[in-house]
Amino acid sequence: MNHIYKAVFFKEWIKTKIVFLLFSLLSLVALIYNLAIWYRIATFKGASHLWEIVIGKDTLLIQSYQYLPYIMAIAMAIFQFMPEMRERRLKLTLHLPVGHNKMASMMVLYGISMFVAYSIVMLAIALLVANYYFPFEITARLLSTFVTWHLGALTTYLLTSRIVLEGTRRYAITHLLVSALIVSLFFQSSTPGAYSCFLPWIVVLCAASAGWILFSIDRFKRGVRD
Amino acid sequence: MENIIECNNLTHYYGSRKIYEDLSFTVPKGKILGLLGKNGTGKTTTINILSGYLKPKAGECKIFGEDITTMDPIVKRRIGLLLEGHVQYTFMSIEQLEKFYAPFYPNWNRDVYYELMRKLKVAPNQKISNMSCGQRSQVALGIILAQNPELLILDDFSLGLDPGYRRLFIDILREYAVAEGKTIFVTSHIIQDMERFVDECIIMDYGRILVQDSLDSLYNNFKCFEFSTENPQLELQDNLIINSEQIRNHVRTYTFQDEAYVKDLLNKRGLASDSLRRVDMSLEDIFIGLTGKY
Repeated sequence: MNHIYKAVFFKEWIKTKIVFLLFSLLSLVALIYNLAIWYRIATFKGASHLWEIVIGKDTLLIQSYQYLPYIMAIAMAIFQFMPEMRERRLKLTLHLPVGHNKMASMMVLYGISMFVAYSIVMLAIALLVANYYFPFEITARLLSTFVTWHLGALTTYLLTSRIVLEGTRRYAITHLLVSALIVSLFFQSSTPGAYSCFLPWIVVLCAASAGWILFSIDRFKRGVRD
Repeated sequence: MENIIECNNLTHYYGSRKIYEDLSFTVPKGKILGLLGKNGTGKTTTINILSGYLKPKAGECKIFGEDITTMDPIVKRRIGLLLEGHVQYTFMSIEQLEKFYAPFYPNWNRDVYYELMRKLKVAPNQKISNMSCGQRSQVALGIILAQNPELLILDDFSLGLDPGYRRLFIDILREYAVAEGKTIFVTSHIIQDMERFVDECIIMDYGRILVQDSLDSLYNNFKCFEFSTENPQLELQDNLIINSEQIRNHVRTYTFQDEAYVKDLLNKRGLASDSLRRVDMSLEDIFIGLTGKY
């Protein structure tokens, strides 16, 4: 079974390596650019001024970074699953001697693994820099904010995957509208740590989004189409 | 003889449009069986049902004795599937494709795959998307042969191929099937290819199977008779006349009956039968004779 996981991951990597590496690089550049704001303020106006802004104005000054994970999530889902839907190539994938739910799960697991790896790297860099400039309390808020952004983006990846894998236009549009509504929840507040107490529910939502993909796969398998 | 494929009372509709009702057929082990039919008669629907991508409204389909809707995924190792248009992962190269498929099949034979790829004279790192239709068909064939399945299901295997590639495809596949005792279920619109390839065929018309028989039996038993007539609009209707067509003074009539029957029919209608003669038919003629022209 290990060889089969490797084979599936190999295929998914071929489809997504360019978009993954490109957006990882873009995210890194955006993150460094945003973190450099701390450096500039601390260097030119002093660390106390930086703390004054962060605490007084309740901001982390890196808001513009938050959109990159979401854009990457959408791009990953499209580049991973659109090639499967062209010419209904997914039939080849689901014909392989592995249960179709297992196959779909392996493909989604690849996406989740890559996204988690990317998130860990970005988070590690952000925490490393934050630890230098801020006390634990602010770093903790940064951690909570980052995790929310990245969990929201991961949910976006899963919801977008479901839309791309949907064979009927009517259902795809319905999924799109529902997904837009769900993702909008993550943009209700820009206050750092605003979603801290909701994190367990966000994890549940993320997990549920992974499960919903299996419905689209099942419909494809049964031949449901426009 | 063991049946590899058994379909019983298949019924399917797309919305309110009936494709077929109570369709039943079997494919014996070791046979190469072709499914022929006009556009819209349900060939691809049947392939989709057999490959597990369409649930029929009623009826059951079994492969290797297992219902396809509840088939153990491991059994799929024994089934090679060629999708219409030789669909493959065009984002992969020849090498990547082999590396991807191999772990799924314990009996994977990479030598067979690369032997076929050598004939294509393409580099191992060439992407499938940069290949011609014919080359892609050979890659798809290579994947199936390397898999070494017991049953091959080929949907419109000749689509988009030039005569050279079609001939190559058929020759390689037929030799492989006969030598290894494989069972093949195939559809194609090019009946000359099917004639060269299959042992038996099922000819479908809208909603039903017209005939399932070996090619030898069809050639012997389904007959075409030609005769001349003065009547420019002759209608030769009879329960045992399958089809009849007239161009000016020449009439062609298709039937499973013998010459004596047709002669007797003409005489009863007061028609001269001295010009009556049997005409040799190809599989395409048999197909047209059974289904009629549009």
